[in-house]
Parts: sequence; structure tokens; C-alpha cells
Amino acid sequence: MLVLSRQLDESIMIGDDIVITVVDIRGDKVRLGIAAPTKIPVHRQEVYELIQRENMQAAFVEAQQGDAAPAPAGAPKPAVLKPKKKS
Amino acid sequence: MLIRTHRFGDLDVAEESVIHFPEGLVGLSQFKRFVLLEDPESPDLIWLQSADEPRFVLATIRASKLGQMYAVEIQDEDRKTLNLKDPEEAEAFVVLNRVEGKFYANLRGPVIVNIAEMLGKQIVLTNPAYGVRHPVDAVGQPHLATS
Repeated sequence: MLVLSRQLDESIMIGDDIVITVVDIRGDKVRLGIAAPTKIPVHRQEVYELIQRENMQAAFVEAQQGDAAPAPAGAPKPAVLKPKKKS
Repeated sequence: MLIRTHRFGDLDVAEESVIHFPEGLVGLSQFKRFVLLEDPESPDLIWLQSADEPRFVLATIRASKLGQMYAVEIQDEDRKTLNLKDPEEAEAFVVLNRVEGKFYANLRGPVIVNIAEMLGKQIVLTNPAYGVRHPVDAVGQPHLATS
């Protein structure tokens, strides 16, 4: 891991278009400002990982349930949600 | 187009009903095309089914079913991904999870669909009061803590 020392209001650049700035330092808390293109999602790591884990667990549970009870032939089919076009 | 699903078998789905998720789901960027399927038996239950992987499916309910206490705030960057100009076009869905027979809702990471353009994104809400595993009584009967 690259480790850099930065002071208040100093920044680091990642690639051409991501800038991370130290906005505030108070005790053991550092506030960072992140400027990145909108196509790059930025999240707190712990929240991102929690949601990822829930997604995988929920999908896994459904796949397991599907194993237990596969769709029988002639079972009712679900309705597909259609786009709502503006009139 | 034909969509293979493990739960419902093969489904014939109009191309325009396929929702594109440019970024995939959080932590699961490999799945980019989904359809939303209304469960034939439980009216509130809506399945977010991958159009490409028959076994990848998530149970959801409309966020509106959680009542006034649950507010989904869409940030500017999410609005851009969803090409969202009119808030009326946004529909929010909350992913359900089942752990040891109990149901939970992921309030922190709702799935937003621009229903006019069929663009989707799972967003991450900033409100720390919303947990990823919030207990709900049963599908369609969510109980949010009032305190």
C-alpha cells in the first residue's frame, strides 16, 4: 500500500480525475473531500460491504428455496413490470 | 425475448420491459439486466430477476409499502445514472432477505428504477438510521419501529 502524508487542505490525485482532499482534522477524525466523475460510485467501505453481503445472502437464500420448490409446469406466471411512457 | 428463471421457468418478456443497471448492484456489477416480476400469489412481492442468470433473483417490495417513515433520497449522481428528470418516474424497491425463517428489509440500499427509461441502480442512502437488516413481520406487512 502506498502511504502518503498530507496536511490540511492538501490533496492527492488518483488517475486524471479523482481528487481527495483533507478537509478537516480533529483528534482521531479526518474528513475527506472526494471529487470524482459521477460514473465512479464512492461509498464508505463498511456500508458498501454490508449491502454487498446482504445482496449475496438474499440471492443465495432465494436460489436455495428455488431448489426446494422448482416452478411446476402450469404454475401461475408472474406479471412483468412494464415501462410507463409519458403521455 | 426469452428469459430463463429458476423460480418461474422460461418467461417471454418484451424487450422494453428489461431494466438496465449500468453499474449492476452494489458489489455485484456483473449483473446488468433485470426484469421486475409481480409474484402471482403474494401481491406485494416483486422479484428482481436477472435477465442473464436464471438463479440470480432478489425478493423486493415497493418502498411505499414501508409508509411515511421511510424516505428515499436520491442524490444528484444517482439521478444522472438513472437519467432521472422527473421524480414521478422513479420507483423505489426494498430488497428482502430471509434469515432463519424471519424476513428483513435492506433499508440502506434500495433499488431505484426510472420507470420511463427502464434504467436501474441500487443506491446507498446516507441516513445511518436505516439498517441493512431491518425486521419486517411478513411480506407486505412491514413494521417499522416508531420510536
